[in-house]
Amino acid sequence: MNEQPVICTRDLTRYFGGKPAVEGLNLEVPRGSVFAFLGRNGSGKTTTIRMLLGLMQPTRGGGTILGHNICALPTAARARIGYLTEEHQLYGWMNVKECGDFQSRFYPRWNEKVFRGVVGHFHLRMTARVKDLSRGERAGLCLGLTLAPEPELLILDDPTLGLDPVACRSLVESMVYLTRRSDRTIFFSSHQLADVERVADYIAILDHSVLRACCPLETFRNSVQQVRLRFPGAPPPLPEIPGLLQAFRAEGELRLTCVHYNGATETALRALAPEQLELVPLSLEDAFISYLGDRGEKSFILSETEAEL
Amino acid sequence: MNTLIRKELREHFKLALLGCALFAFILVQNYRECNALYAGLALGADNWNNANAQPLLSGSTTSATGLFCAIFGAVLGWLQIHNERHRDLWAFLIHRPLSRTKIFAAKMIAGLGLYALGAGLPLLGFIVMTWMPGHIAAPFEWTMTLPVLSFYLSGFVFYFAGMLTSLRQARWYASRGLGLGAALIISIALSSAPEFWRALCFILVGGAILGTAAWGSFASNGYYAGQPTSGRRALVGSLVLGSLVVVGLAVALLESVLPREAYTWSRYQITTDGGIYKMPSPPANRSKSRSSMARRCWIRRPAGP
Repeated sequence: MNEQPVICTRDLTRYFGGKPAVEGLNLEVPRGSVFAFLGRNGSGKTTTIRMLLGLMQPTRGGGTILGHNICALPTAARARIGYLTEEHQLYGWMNVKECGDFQSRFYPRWNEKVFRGVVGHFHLRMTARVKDLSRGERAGLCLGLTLAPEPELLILDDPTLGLDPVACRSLVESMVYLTRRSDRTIFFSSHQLADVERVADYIAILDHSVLRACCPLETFRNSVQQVRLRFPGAPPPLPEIPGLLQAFRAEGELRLTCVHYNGATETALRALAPEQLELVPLSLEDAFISYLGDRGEKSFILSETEAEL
Repeated sequence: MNTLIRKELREHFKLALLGCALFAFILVQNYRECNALYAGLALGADNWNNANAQPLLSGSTTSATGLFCAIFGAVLGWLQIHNERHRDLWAFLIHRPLSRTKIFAAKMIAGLGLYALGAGLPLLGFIVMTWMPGHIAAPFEWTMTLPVLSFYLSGFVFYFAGMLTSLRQARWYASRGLGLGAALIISIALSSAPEFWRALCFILVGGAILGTAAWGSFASNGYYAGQPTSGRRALVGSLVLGSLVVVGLAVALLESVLPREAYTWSRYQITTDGGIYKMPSPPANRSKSRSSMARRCWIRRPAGP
């Protein structure tokens, strides 16, 4: 694997008026990875992507994409980047074939077979007008237009937004099947955490414009743990527990979600003298919700080493 | 780039067609008015007006051409951008291996071509009709086409103004519409230009300023930040010009709201019989306010023999 990251940002910041949309983002996306960019609505994911593609100027900081400055992306670099927007907007008056023809004239590496393959996968007629397509079909067409130029880097901004589960699964499968090569990188934002869990190698989590986690998926999952403590009677009051995200109190049971769960945390919990202490596996979705939920304190998982501390 | 030009032509040819039909209708109406003038003359009408005898020079033709070309150019430029201003469609347009300048140039070539045809064809037909003997009982000289030609060319300035207005990420009540104000200033300037070459200069200067401003805004997705220096300067220039319209409108509004009292003054006048009167100005009030100075003995008549 090439050591140089495909995307690298340094203190990338964007303000709208006095309100920060992205604040001091430092991100590195390794080549050949499937990188999920997560966060709640309005956390700054789309703004980040638009800055990466030079569609918006950062207020402060900068970065590189495929080794080029994001503020002056050369046309040759654009040919190597595929970008799928969240609302899958295209020219309504064109039909599917015309869309393909239009796009193909700009890309020397256009692969008609890939385009027809994706379009066929979504059962689209070549003569169908874009304005008559359903949202899922339009997403399929957009994906075909994005994949056919065989980009080195695929940037997808919430590609499954507004799609039904079948179309959603279809889109993700096409995307991964057609691009899963060692030299290709996928950087995508999504709210479909089940899909993220299935395909992503790395995740980054933005929360209120600030990067709160950037690590391999497994590291994140291992860092956020849920512990179930059983007591013979009412659970005792909780002492200060480092990394505690959430605590649910029930009859004879305490359920705690902690970040950076380690030996010190376990010792603190055992001091409560529970009958039973049990680690409960969390899905990415549960871990994500616990991590970004409103209750409890928040912590940062910005690297593997930090997570191991 | 050719692909983009073809796409733009196909996307907006309906608007050009509509504009062409509308302008042709307007010009035909003017032509008919002119013919009606001659018909009235033949029937002995006494309301002959020399200014309307030649339809190319008639006030209604020049004002209709000026108004239509301004609106058509501005709408065409505005729509060419507005249709793709949706965030995702804009990204689809911009994110391709083609420089912003080339994408802008493709839009501009297609847009100006459509304007040239949409407004130019009816105008050409109108000129040919007046030029061909047997249609209008008035002499034809090529210089007669210059007033309508200058208004036709001013549409290009409005085209860029429409583009700029659509591109700018600014509020309507702030500086967004000032580009159109700048084009209006150019239009006023050229309509008062005594020679065609001066009008042409105004059009070229206005077109260069607004065209560069539109290009700069296109390069920076409509934001001021990130624009090339020339684009910024042109944008500032167009905003200053547009501000003049706002200032003019504000002054006119103030004049209409505030009470208007004409400045008055007086002077003395002596009549043939030696009477001295104080005459206020303006003279419309003379009969009401004149007053004799005789009793005050300001000036005495010499005693008669």
